Amino acid sequence: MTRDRLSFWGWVFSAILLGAVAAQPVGTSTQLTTGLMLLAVLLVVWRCGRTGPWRLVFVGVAVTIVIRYFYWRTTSTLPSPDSLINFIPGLWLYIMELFTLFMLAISMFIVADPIERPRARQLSDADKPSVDVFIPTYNEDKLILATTMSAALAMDYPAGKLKVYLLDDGGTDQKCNGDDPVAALAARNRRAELKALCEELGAHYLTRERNVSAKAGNMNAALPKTDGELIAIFDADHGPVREFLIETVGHFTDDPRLFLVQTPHFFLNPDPIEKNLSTFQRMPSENEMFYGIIQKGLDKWNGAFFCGSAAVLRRAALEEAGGFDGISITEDCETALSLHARGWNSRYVDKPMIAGLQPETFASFIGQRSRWCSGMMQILLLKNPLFKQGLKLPQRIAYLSSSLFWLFPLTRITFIVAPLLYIFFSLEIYEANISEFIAYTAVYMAANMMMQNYLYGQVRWPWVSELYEYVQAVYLIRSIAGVLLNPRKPTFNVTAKGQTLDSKRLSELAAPYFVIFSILLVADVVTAWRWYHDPAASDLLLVVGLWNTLNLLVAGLALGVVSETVERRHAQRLAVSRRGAIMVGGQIEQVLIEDVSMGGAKLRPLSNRFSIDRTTGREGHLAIAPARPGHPIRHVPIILKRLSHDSRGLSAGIAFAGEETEATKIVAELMYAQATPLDEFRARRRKSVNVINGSLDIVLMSVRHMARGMAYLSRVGQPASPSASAINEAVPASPQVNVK
Amino acid sequence: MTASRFSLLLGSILALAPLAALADDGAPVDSDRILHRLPLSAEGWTLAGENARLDLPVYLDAAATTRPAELQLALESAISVMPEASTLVATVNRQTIGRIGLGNQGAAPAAITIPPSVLRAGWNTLSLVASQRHRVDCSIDGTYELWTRIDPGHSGLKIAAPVTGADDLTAIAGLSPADNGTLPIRLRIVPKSDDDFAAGLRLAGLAARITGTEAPLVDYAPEAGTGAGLDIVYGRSAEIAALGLEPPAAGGLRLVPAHDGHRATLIALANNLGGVDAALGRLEDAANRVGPAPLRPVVVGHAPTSLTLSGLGRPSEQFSGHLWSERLHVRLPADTLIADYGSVTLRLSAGYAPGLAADNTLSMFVGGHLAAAIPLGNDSGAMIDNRRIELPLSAFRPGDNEIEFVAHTASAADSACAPRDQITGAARFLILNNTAIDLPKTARALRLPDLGATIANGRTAAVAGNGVRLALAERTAGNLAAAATLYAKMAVLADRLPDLDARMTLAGTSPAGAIVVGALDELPAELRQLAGLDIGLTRATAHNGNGSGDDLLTGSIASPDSAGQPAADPLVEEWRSRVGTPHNRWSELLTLVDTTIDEVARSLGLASTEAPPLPASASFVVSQGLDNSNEPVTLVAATDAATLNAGVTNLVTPQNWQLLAGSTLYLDSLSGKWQSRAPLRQTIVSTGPLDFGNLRMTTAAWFAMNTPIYAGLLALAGMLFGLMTYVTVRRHGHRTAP
Repeated sequence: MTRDRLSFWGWVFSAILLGAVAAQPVGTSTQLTTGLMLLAVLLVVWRCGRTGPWRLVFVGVAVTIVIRYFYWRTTSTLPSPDSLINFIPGLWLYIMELFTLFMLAISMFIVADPIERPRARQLSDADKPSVDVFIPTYNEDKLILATTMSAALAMDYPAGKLKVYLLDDGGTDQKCNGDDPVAALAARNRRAELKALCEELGAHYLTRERNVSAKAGNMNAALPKTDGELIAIFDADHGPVREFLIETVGHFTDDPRLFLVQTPHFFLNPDPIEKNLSTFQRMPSENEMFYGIIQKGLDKWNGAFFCGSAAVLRRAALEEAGGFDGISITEDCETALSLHARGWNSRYVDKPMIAGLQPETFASFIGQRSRWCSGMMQILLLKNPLFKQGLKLPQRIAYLSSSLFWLFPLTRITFIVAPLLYIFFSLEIYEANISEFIAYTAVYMAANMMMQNYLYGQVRWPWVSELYEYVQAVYLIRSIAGVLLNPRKPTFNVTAKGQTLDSKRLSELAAPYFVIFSILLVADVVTAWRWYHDPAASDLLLVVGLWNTLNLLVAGLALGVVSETVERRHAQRLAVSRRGAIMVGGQIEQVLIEDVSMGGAKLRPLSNRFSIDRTTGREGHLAIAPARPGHPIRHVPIILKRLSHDSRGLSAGIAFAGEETEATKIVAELMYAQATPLDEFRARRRKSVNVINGSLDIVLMSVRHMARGMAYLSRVGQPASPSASAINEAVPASPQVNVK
Repeated sequence: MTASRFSLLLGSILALAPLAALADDGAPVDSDRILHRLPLSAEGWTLAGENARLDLPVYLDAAATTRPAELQLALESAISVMPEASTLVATVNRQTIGRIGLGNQGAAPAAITIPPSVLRAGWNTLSLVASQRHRVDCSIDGTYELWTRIDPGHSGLKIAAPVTGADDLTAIAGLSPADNGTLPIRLRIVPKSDDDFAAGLRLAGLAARITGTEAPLVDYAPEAGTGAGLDIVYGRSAEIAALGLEPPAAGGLRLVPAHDGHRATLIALANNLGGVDAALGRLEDAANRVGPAPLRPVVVGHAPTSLTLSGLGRPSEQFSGHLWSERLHVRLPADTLIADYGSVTLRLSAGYAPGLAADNTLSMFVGGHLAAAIPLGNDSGAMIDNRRIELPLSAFRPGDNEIEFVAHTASAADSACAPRDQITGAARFLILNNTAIDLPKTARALRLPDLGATIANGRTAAVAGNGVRLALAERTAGNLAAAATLYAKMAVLADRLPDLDARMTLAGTSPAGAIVVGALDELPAELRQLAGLDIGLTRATAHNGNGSGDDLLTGSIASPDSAGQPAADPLVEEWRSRVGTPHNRWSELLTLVDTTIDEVARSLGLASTEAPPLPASASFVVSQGLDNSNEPVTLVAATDAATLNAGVTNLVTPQNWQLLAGSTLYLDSLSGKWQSRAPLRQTIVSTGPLDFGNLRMTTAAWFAMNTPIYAGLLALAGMLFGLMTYVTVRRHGHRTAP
C-alpha cells in the first residue's frame, strides 16, 4: 500500500472515529463541559501555531464542535410536524443551517492546504511567447483607458512580442449607426477619439459590428484579429505594473496544459462600505479573503478560476474551446469552468499587479454584486459543476463552492427573520431550552467565530462577513429569484466606476435598510418588554433577544453603509516612493514623490523646505527618476496647487498639466512601475483583530453609524449642500488634482 | 425493647395503619353485606392538598356485580377544610357514583350507592378525587393544612358476601385486604428443605399476584390466621392432616373459603416435586384468568415512547385553587441505564389566568426531586401550547417513577381570602390532556450497585432471566418470614412469577445475585464488608448491645441528613425569605450562571460525591455490593430478628418500596425515616446481548458518567482527524508533501 493510499485510509478511519465519538447522545451538562473543554483545546492549539499541521488540528477540533452541534440540532430541536405553523419555518431554518454547514464543509476542503506558488520561471527574451493584451471597454472614460493602456504598454516585455488592444464595445457599428442620432454621434466620436488615443500611445483599436454576448463576445470578436500565443486581459480601469508579464508568463512554459494564470485584483479606492464606514485604510478589503486565501486554496485543487481581469490565458486553449463562454453574465468563471472540464489547468499567483477601481456608490456596488450573483446562479443552473463532464471531484467542489456561495442571501434573510417569528408571533421554530442553547448553540457559535478568526483573521475581521452579506442580501435575493424564474434573462451591465458624490446623502437604495432596522429595533424593545413581563418565555427570549440584537447591530452598521459620504475624488491616489526634482520659476528642488493619482502627485522636499516660488498656481516641471537603471528620466509639466504641513513636515500638491496622454504616461510610470507599493499597502491592512476586540469594535461602529444613518435620514427632503447634484458621473475635461 | 426497635415498630404502625386503632380484626359485617376493604396504594390513605386523587383496584366476581353494593368511606378531615367548598367525588370505572362533602362529616362513615350497571366482573377502578379549600388561609402554606384521611378499616365496597366454589381459585383475587390495606398471607407449615421453602414462597408469591396487592405480608405459623388474608398450607398429606385439614385430591390444590372468622386457606399437596409444579400451574392459570390489576404504572420499553395525559387516563382539568398537583407513574424497564445521555421531554399544553402572582411556577418533580420548573408569571395570563420542557434522564430511575406536577397559582388577592372566592372561585389553571411525556431511547444495562434497578423491580441478579435468589443467614422464623415477604413483593412487581432459588442457610451457597436475609450478627463478615455494612451496623450493634437505650445518646450521633452538609438555619432561611426578591429577573440570570458553573463542576468530578457514613442509628438496612463477577449481593439485615421482620414489613409497603435506590437504604431509628445512600462507584453491567444500538447507547451513558474522558476522547478524535486531513490533503491535488 502506498503512503498516499495509507494516508487516505487513515483519514477515512479518523473521520469514522470522529463521527462515532461525536454522535454520542450525551446530555446537556456533559455537552456543556465537553464544549468548554474543546474551546479550551482550540485556544491551546491557537497558541501553538497557525500553519502546518496545527492549522488542520485546529480545524479538526472546531469541526468536532460543529458536528456535536448539528447532531443535536438534527435529533433534538426540530419542531413537531403536528404543528405546521412551527414546523414549516423551523424546517426552513434547519435547512438553511444545513446549507451553511455544507458550505462550511466545502470551504474547509478548499482552504485545507492553500498553496504559495513559487515565482514563475524567468525566460529569455527569445523564449518568451508573444502576448496580446486585451482591454475590453464599453463606456469607460478616456483618461482611465489611457492610463490603463499606458501601463500595459509600459510592461516589461520584449518589443514586438507585446501588443495592446483596446476592444471597444462602445464604438461598434451597431452603436455608431444606431437609431438614436445623439447616441450614434457619441459612439462615432468615441470611436474616433479612442482610435486616436490608441495611435498616439502605440496601442491597437478594435471594435466589431454588433454588441452581442457582452464582454465575452467582445473578446471573442478580437480573437481572430489577433495572434499572440498568450492573451493578457485587463479591465478598463485595471492598470498593470511593469512586471506583470514577467511574473506570469513563465508558468505557461512549465505546464503546456496551463490555460490560465490569475492574479489578485487590487483596488485604489474603497468600496462604498469601506468608504462610508471609514475602514479602507485600516481594515482588509472584502476581496482579500478571496484573493488571499480562497484562490490559493482553489489553486491547490486546480480550481483557481478566471476573474475577468488581471489574468493571462493561453490562446490555444481558448480556441480549442471556441473562445470565451458567454451563456452566463459571468463569462470569466464560466470560461474557466469549460476549460477545466476540457483538461486544462490553471494557476494563481498571489501578487497584486494591477490597480483598479471599485464602484464608489452603494447603488453601483449592488449593481456589480447583482451581476456576479446572477451570473453564478446561471452557472449553477445552466452549467452545474456537479454534472459537468470532465471535471475532477475537487474541481466540482471548488466550482460548487464558488457558485453556491451566492445563495447567502437566503441564509442571511432567514437568520434575520427567524428570531422575529418568536418575538412577534411566539412561533417556536427551534426547540431548545436555555441550558441547551448555552451548551450547544453558544459553544458552536464561539467555535465558529474562533475558526473564522483563526483561518481568515488577517484578511477578514469579525462580523464583516455578516455585514457584507446583509447589505447585499436585501437586493440580491431578487437577483436569485430572477435567475430561478428565467435563467437566461439576466444581461450584462457594466459596473459604473469613477463616480463622485458632491454631498452627503442617503443612497437611493437605503429605504429597505431603515425599514429592517426599525423592525429589528422594535423587536428588541418587544423582547425586553416580554422578557420582563412574560416569565414563562424569558429563557427563550433571552436567547432570541440576543440573536436579534446581533442582527440589529449589523443592521445598524448597514445604516452607515447606505449613508453615503462625499466623494469628490475621481482619480485615486497610490502611495509611491520615487525621487524627482521640481522646477518652478527656474528654481529646482529635489523631492520625494509620495503619492500619485491620475490627476497629480504629492511631493515632499528632501531638504524639508521649498526654495522655489511657493505661489500656488505657478507652472513648472517635474522630472522623475527612472524606476530602474537604464530607463529614461521623464519630464512632465505641472501646476503647483497647494503647500501644506503634516507630521513629516512640508509637502506640496501638484497637478499634471499639458497633454493628457503625456500625463497618463507619467501616471503609468509612477503608479505602475512596481508591484511593491500595492503589496505594501495590502500588507499594511492585513492585521488580525481578535474576536473580542473585533466584536467590540463592531458594536461601537454600529452605534456610531446608527446615529449617522438617522442624522442622514433626518435631512431627507432638505436641500443638499453645497451642491444640489447627488451623483456626478466623472467625465473630467481636464486633469484634476486631489490633494489631502 | 430497645429504643430503636420501639421507634421502628411505632413507625411501622403509623405508616401502615393511620387509624388502625379504630379497626377490628374481622371484616365488618352489616347484616347481609361484607365490607370489601380497599387495598393499600403508593398514595397511602391521605388526600392532601387542594386537589388530590386516589385510584384503587377492586376485584369482583360476576355474581357480586349483580348484588346491591355501596361505597362506604370513613373519612376524617382537617379542621381547616372548608365544608362549603370541599368535596370528594367518587367514580367507579370513570363513572361518577356520588359526591361527599368534606370538612363536616360526622363520625359515621359516608355511603354512596353504586348503581349495578357501573360495576363489572373482574377488576374495577375506584377513584376518589378530593377538592379541598381552606377556611381562612388562602396562602400556599395554607394548602398544606388541608387533608382528609380515609380509615381503611371501615372503608370499602359493601357488598353481599360472594359465593364461590372451593375449587375456584380466582376467588383469591376477591379477598379483602386487612384493615390497613395490606394482604396477610400465612404459611402454616415451616419448611424442612430448601425445595419446600421455595415451593411455599412460590405459592405465596403467586397468590399475592392474583390479589393484585401491593403490600403482601407473609409469615410462618402453624395456627390458622383470622380476619382478612390467606392461609397457605403446603406439605405432605400427613403434615396437612396434622393441621386438621383434608389434603386435596386431584391437582394437588384446593381453596377452602373463609369461614367462622378464619381466613380462606389454600392447600397444596407436596408429595413430590411434580406435585407442586402442577399446583403452581393451576394457580398460574387462575392468575391469568384474573389478569393483572389495573392502575399499575404505565410500562414503557427501551424504545422512544410518547405518553399523553389522556392516554394515562387523565382528563383535561381546570383548577381554581392555589396549589395544584398531579402525580403520574411511569415504569421504565428495570435494566434502563440511567445517566445524562438523554432527556425526557414534557410537551406541556396548559394555561393560567390573568392577574396571578408574578412568582408562580409550574414545577416538575421526578421521584420527589425537582427536575424542571417554568414560571407562570405573565400578568395577563397565558396559554401554553405544546411547550417543550426537558427533564434530565438522570432524574429518573429504573422501574417505577413518580412524576409530579405542582403549579403555584397564587394571587395578590388571596390575602383577603374571601369565602365566596373559595367557593365559587374562577379557574386559575388549566392542564390539557394532550400534554405529553416523550421518553427517549434508553440503553439496556444496569448501573450496579443499585437497589432501585434490582430489588425494587423484582430481580436480585443483573440478568432478569436468572430469577430471584434468596438465602437466609440462618433458618429462623423471622428470617423465613422476612424472605417470604420480600419474595411475595417481588413476585407482585414482576411481569410473571420469577423463578426462585431459595436457601435456608448460607452454607454452600454463593451470595452472587442473591438477597441474603438475616440479623447482622448472623451475617458473615465478608458479606457485610462487600455490602458496605461493616462500619455502621457494627457500631449500631455495639450501641444496641450495651443496652443503653438512651434516646438522647442515640440522637446525639450525627444524622445522615446533617453529615457532610450543614442544615440550613431556619432563622436565616426565614430572614432570607423576608428580604429576598421573589421575582427578580437578574437574580434568575445569576442563578442560570450559577447553575451552569455547577453543572460543569459536577461533570468534571469537581463536586463532592462523598457519601456520609452509615449512622449508628440505622436499625434496618438493605444494602448492595458487587462481587468479583459484578453480580450484586444484597443484604437485608437488622440488628436482630424482630427488627428485621418489622423492617421488611415496613419496607414492602408501596410508599416505602419506592424508596429503594442507591446502594443502601436504611431506617433511621431516631427519626423513623428511611434514608438512602448513593454508591461511591457504580459499574455498568450488561443485561443481555449487546446489539449495536444498545452498545452505542451504553457507551453514551458511560461517557455521560465520565465527562472528562469523553471530552478528552472527543478532542483527540478531532485532533487526529485534523492531523490525518493534513497528511492526506498534502498528498492530493497540488502535492505539497515531500
